[in-house]
Amino acid sequence: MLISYSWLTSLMDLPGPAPTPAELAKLLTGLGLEVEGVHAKGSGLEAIVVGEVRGVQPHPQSDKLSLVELFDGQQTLAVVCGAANIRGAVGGKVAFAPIGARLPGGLEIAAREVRGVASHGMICSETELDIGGDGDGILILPNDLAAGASLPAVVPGVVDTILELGVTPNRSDALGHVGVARDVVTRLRGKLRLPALRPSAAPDDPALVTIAAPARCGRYFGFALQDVRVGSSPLWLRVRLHRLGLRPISNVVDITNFVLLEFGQPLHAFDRSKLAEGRVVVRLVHGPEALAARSMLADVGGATETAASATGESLTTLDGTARALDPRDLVIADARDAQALAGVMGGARSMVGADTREVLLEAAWFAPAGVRASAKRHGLATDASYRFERGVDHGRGLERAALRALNLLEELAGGVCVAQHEAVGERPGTPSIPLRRARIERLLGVAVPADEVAQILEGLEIEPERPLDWPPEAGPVRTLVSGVKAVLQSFVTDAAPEPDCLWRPPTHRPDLQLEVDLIEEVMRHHGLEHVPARAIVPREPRAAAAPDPTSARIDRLADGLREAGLREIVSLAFVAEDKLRPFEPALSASPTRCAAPGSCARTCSRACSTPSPTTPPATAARSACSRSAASTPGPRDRSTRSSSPRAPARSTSSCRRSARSPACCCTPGARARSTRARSPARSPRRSAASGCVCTCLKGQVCRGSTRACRSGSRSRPARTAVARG
Amino acid sequence: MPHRLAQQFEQFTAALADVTSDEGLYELQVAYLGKKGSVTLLKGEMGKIPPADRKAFGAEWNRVRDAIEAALEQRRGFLKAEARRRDLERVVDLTMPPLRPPEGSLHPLTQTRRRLCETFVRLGFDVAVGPHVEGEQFNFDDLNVPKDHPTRDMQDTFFVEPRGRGGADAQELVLRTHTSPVQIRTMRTRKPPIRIVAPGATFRCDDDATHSPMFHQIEGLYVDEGVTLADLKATLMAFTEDFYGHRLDVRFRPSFFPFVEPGAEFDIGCPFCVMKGCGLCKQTGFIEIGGCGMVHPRVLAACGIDPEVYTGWAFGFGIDRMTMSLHQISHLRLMFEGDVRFLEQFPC
Repeated sequence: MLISYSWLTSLMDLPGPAPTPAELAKLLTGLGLEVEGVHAKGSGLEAIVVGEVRGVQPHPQSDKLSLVELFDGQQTLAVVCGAANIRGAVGGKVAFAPIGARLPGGLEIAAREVRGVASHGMICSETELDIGGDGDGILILPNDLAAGASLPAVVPGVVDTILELGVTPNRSDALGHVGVARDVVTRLRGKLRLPALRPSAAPDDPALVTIAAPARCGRYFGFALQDVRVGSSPLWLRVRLHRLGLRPISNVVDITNFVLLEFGQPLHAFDRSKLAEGRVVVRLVHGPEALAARSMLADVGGATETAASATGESLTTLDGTARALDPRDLVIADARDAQALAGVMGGARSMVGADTREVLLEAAWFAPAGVRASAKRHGLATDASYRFERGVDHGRGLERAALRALNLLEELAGGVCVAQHEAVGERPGTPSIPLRRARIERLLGVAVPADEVAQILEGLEIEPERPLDWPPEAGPVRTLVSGVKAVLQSFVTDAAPEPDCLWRPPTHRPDLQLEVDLIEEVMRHHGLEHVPARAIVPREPRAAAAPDPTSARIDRLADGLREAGLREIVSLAFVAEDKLRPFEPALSASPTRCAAPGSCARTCSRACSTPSPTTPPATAARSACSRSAASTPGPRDRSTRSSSPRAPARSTSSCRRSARSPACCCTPGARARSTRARSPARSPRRSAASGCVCTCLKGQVCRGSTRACRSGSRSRPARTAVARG
Repeated sequence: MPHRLAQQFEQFTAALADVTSDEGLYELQVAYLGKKGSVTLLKGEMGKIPPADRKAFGAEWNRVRDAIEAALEQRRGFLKAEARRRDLERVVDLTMPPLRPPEGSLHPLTQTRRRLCETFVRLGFDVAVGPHVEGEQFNFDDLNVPKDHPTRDMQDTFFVEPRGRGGADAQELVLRTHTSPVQIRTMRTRKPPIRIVAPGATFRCDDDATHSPMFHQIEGLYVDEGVTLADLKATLMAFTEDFYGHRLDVRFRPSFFPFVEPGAEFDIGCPFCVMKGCGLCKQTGFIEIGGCGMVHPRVLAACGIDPEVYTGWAFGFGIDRMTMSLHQISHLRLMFEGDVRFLEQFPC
């Protein structure tokens, strides 16, 4: 999750100065939103100013170049420009890099002659400034900007710092800027500053949205807009999206993406004129029977059925792929056909295009498990499915996101909302969670003051259901009865008394279910670093348990074998089946097999790490061998050993060439290399002693020759094992 | 006759020069002066010479015998002196240890695992073990990992085939994806106080340059009345100090694991760049050691331990990563390749 520093800080009202990006990164990591990277963007763009094009003449020496009279707020300069679109920009505003400015690409602007004409600066495109993807022509700025103004000052986000957040799966609320800002302001004792929202006054039209699968869709806001003018988004919006790694497409699509990043709420805009009857139905996919029945009805009515097929419904998604839908998929359909895979991806047919005039805006909550299953079934992982799977807000956050998108569509795309409807399915309930203050101390080992707990929880919009009734730290004397009760309770048992307070978590925190979840929130915002490190004295002296006999035996064996000159290796406990085939008996004793997903070709557990014809393999199910020892001829000579430098492990890149086939405790690669490494002066006794011994998980010792020995060098007789069990 | 005596003496003198041992001297003595020695036999022939010459011959014979005996004695003395000189010349280093066959080595992972266990045993923990093949119940369900959790995908977990054996109710078998099932096994069989560590191999379907489908973890669990997060912090700090030999900066940051709540990640200050930022710590100054937190009440309840009475903490650290950080090993895969040149670098 990428977070824009400037956007985030614009959502916060803080008592003190805003933290710097580095401070913010530390703070977020301390809150459990690990910052994995901090990237400064647009440094050097402070020098870019708004320039006014006062006149454009053709360049005397070139057809393609133009000679621009440019007013930079103080003076009129002559600038040579190569972009074609400058010719239509007379009187307009452009981004101007004066002499001395340094562009993100590293280009430093200097006065120079272009084909015999002096040019005093450069008129820039989006890509040259790295604030967008459009490099075809120069960037034309809105006309209302004052010439001479600094570009970053008039367009927020031009100079920015991007924080890379690793959001844990429980924190779906932090998949938008507002959620992250909420965490930060709670920690810094500030307030969230949400964008102003205007409620929609459009009439309610129940026909607009129907939920036919209430178990899968908890809430659905539909807004019908007319007179939408699809075009390019304003610069600030394009810059925001570009900084956060999204490609600006058109104002309508950009607005849905912007609200996705702001509230973490995925939205979708349909071209309403392409929806049959201009309405949507949230339903499961029709099976072939339903289609057939409908098709019959349609035939009776004389209409032509387009989508009916023998196999069921299908949908071409925005990525251009035609997908056969599964009856378990939830879709957004119009009166007839599926138009979007709910919570995953929209359909190509009702996509908003350049000529779209009517839009149906969707803001909804879909059940996480259903979205996850659909996304997996179709191999689609989108920004929307990622959030729905983790659970988006179905309460106030959804309403806010819907209104925010609606307001922006009215503002930036000229849309007029003509109808709206909110359909409701089965929304998940929010639990009432009892929180005992004593429990906080019992779990964390530190007492957090009552008012701090309340401040933290209320900052996170966790609402007290029953008024706070905690004994004050050292406040006024409470009523005698409750005071005595508390004292008695603390004497009788150190178990916590009755729940002090009931709290209702907000709908944007579906992960808050139990008392411990609230305690974790307290811990995060109190600061894990403020929890002291305080060891407790064990309640009773420890009666040491006897060590596991098998492990102890394996350890003793390993020690003995090491002393006998063997080196222990650790190889994978499972191998590709064909690697096991040379050891026919071991294979036929049915090794444990695993499903082989993706790239992992190793599926068979070794019944024993050196399968050998003479060794009956251990019972297959639990004998995944992990450890084995291979004798290796080490340098015998003392002086060689002491003088051989301890080569840094990382530099043995040649080691990595070896074939990765850990079928046996001694890989052929290792074997061959050790043979090569042998010094000619080695005594025959030593080399004859090389062999292989393995210890199984069950503590059995298997004797046998290594595969390398058997299939490797023919000139050498097979080595035999040297260990005794 | 006197001529033969002189001849014998010459022969003897020539032979004597070649003798290098006492045995040789004795043989020579027997050959010339023994009962059937060549010189002795000449004495027996005394009767064959004219009586006038007998006295002279006798004297001559005696002189030769004495000369032989003296030469033998001298040679014996010479050999003895020579042997002694050689003895004295030889220099013996009595401090030199006896030659032993070269020792093998334990795998660095084994060395780290043992060190970890020793450290935790000193801190009052028992070492527990569990099988590699687990049922889904111990590996997931009892650990509060929901049924539709992404980690339960086939993409991440090795399911033992054939799947669905023994009907619909029977649980699937998996290669354990973490050492946490040992927590469940321990809590189900023992009553608190429980203080264990459980090292072992674990399996996930990650097979790329930085991941191995088999890796190693060590699990820690402490369940008793009054166990707190503050104690977890103190224990892990004591552990780090003991294990790395000196006080290191440690960092706890809140995180999420289904089986703990509150959960945290445990990082140590990079021991190599001393938190300046290096390749090993990816320029962050910290190395991730693993996850930890307070045992989730649902996990305690699943094991029949009352979460209202008992609390506990748990941690799970990657042994492979700790080994890599201890020895500055750059690639995880090196550990599992069995390359002797790699193994040699970790004598023990």
